[in-house]
Amino acid sequence: MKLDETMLMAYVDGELDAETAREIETALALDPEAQKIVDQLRQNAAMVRAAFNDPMHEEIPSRLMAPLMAEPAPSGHRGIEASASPRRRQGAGRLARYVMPVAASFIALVVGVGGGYALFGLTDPFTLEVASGGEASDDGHISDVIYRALETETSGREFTWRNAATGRSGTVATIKGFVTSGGQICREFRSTVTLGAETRTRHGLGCRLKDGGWETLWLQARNR
Amino acid sequence: MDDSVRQELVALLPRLRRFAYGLTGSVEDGDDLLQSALVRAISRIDQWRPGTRLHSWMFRIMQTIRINDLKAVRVRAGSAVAIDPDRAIGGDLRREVEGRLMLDAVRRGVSRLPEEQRAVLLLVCVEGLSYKEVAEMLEIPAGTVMSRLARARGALHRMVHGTEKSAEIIRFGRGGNDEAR
Repeated sequence: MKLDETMLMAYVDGELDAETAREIETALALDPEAQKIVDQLRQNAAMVRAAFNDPMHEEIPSRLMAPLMAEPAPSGHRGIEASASPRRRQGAGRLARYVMPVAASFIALVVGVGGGYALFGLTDPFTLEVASGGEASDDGHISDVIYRALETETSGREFTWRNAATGRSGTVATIKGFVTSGGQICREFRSTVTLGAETRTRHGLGCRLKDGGWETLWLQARNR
Repeated sequence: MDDSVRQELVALLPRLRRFAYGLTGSVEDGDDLLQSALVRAISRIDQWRPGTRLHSWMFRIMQTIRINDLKAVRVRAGSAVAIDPDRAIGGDLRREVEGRLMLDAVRRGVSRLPEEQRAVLLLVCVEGLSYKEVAEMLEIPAGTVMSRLARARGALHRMVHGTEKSAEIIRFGRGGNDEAR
């Protein structure tokens, strides 16, 4: 295989099918000059990414949020319909799967790097209420509220939900956020679920995905 | 505007800001550009076809506004590039300073590229779009995407690494000449 610049560039940019890419890799092993060019292309692309990466973990200026703010809520609270958007639906599915103990290192990471993180400036208090006849499970409502909390600027603001169908209610509040070395924004949150006199508290972690959604997982209970 | 579209736009804001930063060379100018683009997008949201990529549509609006802005202010072209020296990049001090200088050089280099090369470079190297997606977005042939990309890379490399290394990268400057420079 002949390694010309166009081919190497397409290889680095992931434009080649798997078979051609393998052929290139085989040829590269025998061509240090071409390998050097590939390394350079990769390095340069990484530098351009790094040069403009700041906005990925900065607070969004309120003037950019303003045009996107929803119309004022009709009454005292803002509600989300039970039919969640696909993104939040996806979150609910992930959430269910992640109800499990996670590695202690993850928790150490959360404890180790503090500092509030501001994202979006939603201003009004938020309560999700399900009148009646809803699903027997609270998971969907909890994940909707978690999503809302993660998207909200201020750490510590409490979001509440009530599910008339199960008799449960709960709160979600973000605690603190951090940026991973990979530039990913993560926020820890606290979730409570109350039924009668009993309240159960859990902690979770939400990390923003490349596509803009959030991946959430529950953290193991710990003593504080 | 549909609430799910609104939320999708909100979630895209960091990426849109990054692209605007790359296009304009300064965070402030980028935010101005993005603000105009958001207002335009919201007023024309019916022109976005659900099922197509919202970010590509937004990139295109931003690029269009940018080109129009450039035509309007051509007289004051060549204005200084805003570089914020206080942007931390981590690491120990020496490495940090070196890294900072390097990233400044990259930003300066990108800002000196011809407009059409800059957009293609950012869309492929930063935003991860395929050649095909960029070609469709900018309404240019895929071959032109590749030639612009190759020239942008070659020019940027020379600007960032200085002239002493130009010999080894000059190979990238050849091939395709639809934008002599």
